[in-house]
Amino acid sequence: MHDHHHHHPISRKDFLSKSTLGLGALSLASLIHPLSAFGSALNAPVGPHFAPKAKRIIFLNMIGAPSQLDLFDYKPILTKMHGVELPESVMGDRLTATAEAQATKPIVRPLYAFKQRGKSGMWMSDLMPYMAQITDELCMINSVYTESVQHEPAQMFTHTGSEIPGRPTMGAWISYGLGSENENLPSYIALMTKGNEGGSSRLLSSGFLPAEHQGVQLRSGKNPVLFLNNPPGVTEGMRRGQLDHLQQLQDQSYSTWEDASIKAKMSQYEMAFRMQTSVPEVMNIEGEPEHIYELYGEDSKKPGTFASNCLLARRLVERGVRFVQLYHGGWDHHSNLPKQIPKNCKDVDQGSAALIMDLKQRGLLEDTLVIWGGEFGRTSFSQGQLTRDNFGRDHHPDAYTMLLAGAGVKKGLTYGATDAFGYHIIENKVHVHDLNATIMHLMGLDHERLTYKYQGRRFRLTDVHGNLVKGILS
Amino acid sequence: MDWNLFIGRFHPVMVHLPIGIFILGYGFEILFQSGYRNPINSRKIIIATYSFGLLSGIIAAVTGWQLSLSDAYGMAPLNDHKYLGIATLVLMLAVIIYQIKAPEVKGRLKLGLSTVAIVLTALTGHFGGNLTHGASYLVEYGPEFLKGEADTGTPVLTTMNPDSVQIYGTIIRPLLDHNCMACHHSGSDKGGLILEDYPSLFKTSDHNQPIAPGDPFASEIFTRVSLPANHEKAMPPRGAGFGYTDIQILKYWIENGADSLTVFNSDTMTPELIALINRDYGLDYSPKPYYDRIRVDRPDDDLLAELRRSGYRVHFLSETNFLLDVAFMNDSISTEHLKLLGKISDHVTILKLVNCHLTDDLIQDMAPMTHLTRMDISKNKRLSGGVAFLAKHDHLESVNFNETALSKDALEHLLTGFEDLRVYVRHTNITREERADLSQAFPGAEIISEFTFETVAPAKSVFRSESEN
Repeated sequence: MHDHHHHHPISRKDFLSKSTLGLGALSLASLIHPLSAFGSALNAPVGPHFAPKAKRIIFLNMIGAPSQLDLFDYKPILTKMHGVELPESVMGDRLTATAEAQATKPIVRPLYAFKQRGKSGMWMSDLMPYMAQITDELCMINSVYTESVQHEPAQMFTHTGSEIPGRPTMGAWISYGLGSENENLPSYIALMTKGNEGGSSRLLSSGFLPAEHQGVQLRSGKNPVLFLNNPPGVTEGMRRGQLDHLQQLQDQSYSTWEDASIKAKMSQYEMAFRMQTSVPEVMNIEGEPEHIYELYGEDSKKPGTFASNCLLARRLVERGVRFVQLYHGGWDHHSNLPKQIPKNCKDVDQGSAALIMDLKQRGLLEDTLVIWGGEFGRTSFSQGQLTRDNFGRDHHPDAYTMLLAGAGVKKGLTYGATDAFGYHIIENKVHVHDLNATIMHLMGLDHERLTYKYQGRRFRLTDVHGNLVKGILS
Repeated sequence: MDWNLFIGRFHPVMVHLPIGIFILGYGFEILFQSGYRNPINSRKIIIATYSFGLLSGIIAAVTGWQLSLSDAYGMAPLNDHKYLGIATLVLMLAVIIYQIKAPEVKGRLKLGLSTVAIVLTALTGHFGGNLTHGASYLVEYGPEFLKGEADTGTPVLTTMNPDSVQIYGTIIRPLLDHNCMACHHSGSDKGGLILEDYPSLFKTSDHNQPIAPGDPFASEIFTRVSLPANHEKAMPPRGAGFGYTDIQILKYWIENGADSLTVFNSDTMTPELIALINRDYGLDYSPKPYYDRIRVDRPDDDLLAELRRSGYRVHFLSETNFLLDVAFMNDSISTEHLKLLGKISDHVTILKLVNCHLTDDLIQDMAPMTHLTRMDISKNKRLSGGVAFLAKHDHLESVNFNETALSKDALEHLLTGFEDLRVYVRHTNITREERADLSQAFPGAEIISEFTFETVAPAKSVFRSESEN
């Protein structure tokens, strides 16, 4: 070890980054974590840039795009003009190919009664009887809009700020920016409804960020993380011994090459080892008291349901997981909306509302942000034939609703407005980039400063866009 | 009857004639130079046309001069128009003399001089138009690139740090320059009022003091600019005048001492004023959380290392905010642990001592934390609240007592001092009824406990209910 400082066979790139920019990064890292700056500067987070309101996020992602007109954005004129052709003057010139191909575009009214709820008087449909009870905790943005009219690119856009796959998702950015609060669990975890997954591993990508920031899907059942358990015949002790030997080899290798990726690989092995204990512990909800199951609804006892995943989400953020993403598919109601949407609402309504209130009663909503919504909205006219008891709604990226609750967000606020037909936004437009910038802001991250250099340019979640939606900040 | 103004008001009527005639003469000259010469178009015609133009121009200039005496226009733009107009006439005279006296000079040189005169004419006309209609009138509805930096009278402040916007220099002074200086400067002290610099705002005029620090309604400027526009005494007599936001800013500035260095302060601004300034100037003065208003020095690194070694998780709030977010991560806390915490008592703003066998005796001996805003002492079953300790913290916003032995009396005692506290009292000794009583007694406080849903009846769709009817 005494001749350690006489040879430094590190790469030119490493040398440059460590000696010039690296010094700056070191001093920054030491500002945040004086200990970790030298201990494991490797994975040191880059933020927070300013005091955060939220430390954790739970994103309840409704894949397929729920109809904002049947659930949240109340438009009485749709009822009054039910069956009447949607005037061209309302539609304007942006039309999807499917809508263009449609001979008639009859207006269709919301299916269930809307009422004003709570002290805030927020409108919500009878389809969401549980969410309707907690509107005073919610911030409803009725003026979100996005770029793409197709599911895959629009989902990718919501997650990464780009329609084309390959960029890191918001969860990965946040993990990269803030690091983990629990060294035994990944900082970015996804849960999908069994049989109605909706999400996919593409939506959990860390893109060009280091792989440790990738979302880890926890599955219901015996094997929450695939290939995590030891193979038959290998005991925990054997695995430990194996890792210790590996550690020695890697240490030698590191002292020769000083290649950061060696340490990164080792820390991932160790994380996987710790997860063999931590994951079964967090996934085991049998110890939850009966009144908690009652709160989340009867589904919550069945592993893999949305309600059960909501309960798990609470357990995960309780343990300091930064970003928990729940997926629930089946919202793509091009036809048969009257039959389909009540089913989906029943699946998610109580779990979502229970999660928010469970976080609240535990004090976790003080620094947890909950986001609810899909990738775009749906049209105010019927797709396909409008019959007495059947209709569908087409994709509509120009106006839809997202719900927020928790840290740093105004409660009981309905923000933004659409025209009388819920077709175009007329007040306080919120682009997906704006929403993402605001979410990063709540986490203490400046969306313009959280960048990563890759292939010669610096990338960020909001590309070159995004304005803070100040109106919703508390 | 005011002869000057009476005649002066004919300036806009007169002014278009010379412009038209100059252009007509210029047209003749271009035709002449390009070879079109016949009895109607000759050097004489050109000279005659220019001369008639000059004559009508002089009449326009005289009426303009009379109008300018009314002081209804801003000094600088008026001067531009005035002197440019005179220059145009002088040049036009030169053009005429040149045409008469130097027939041998090449036509192109003559045409060059005329061209300069025509350009000057156009410029003069443009500045004149700006005087009446405002600088942005012409291009207001044009493409973006034409608009440029048209002066709207509202300074652009969005790039400034809200905390360093001096009200006088950045907002009040430009407002006075824009609306008042045309008449109230040392060259034209109408009403004995001069507003050209900061000290002059406090010199009493024929009326009240222009600005009376602390008292808007004793300040002549405030009372006059806030009158309805059609009021005889409303100021300024012409133009859009002070907007509602500007009047509110003026009032705020006077109320807060009218110092030239006064800045906005969220604590003394009304929510209305904050919203107006945000809308019109893009400046955000919404109140900041306590921990964002406090600046503390970076604590000693060795001390933080010691805390981490003994089981605390310690974070700075951000890379520039050295207040600390501290949590004890082990399951048993001792006096030594808490003593250590005392060493950074002026840095801790969020403190979590959860599920660590914290007792009343232990918490009682803790050093008060100067900037504590949020405390979580949940899951300490033997703790009856530590209310005496908590009561020492003026900036406390939220306390989590879940799963402690907190009693109604203890919470009542605490809330008496902190009426807008958020407290979590789930699974404590406080009953549902006691909580309801406390919520009623302390309406500002938020007392959060076990949540249960109301029973939900199955919803009916409009289609189904119709088919049933």
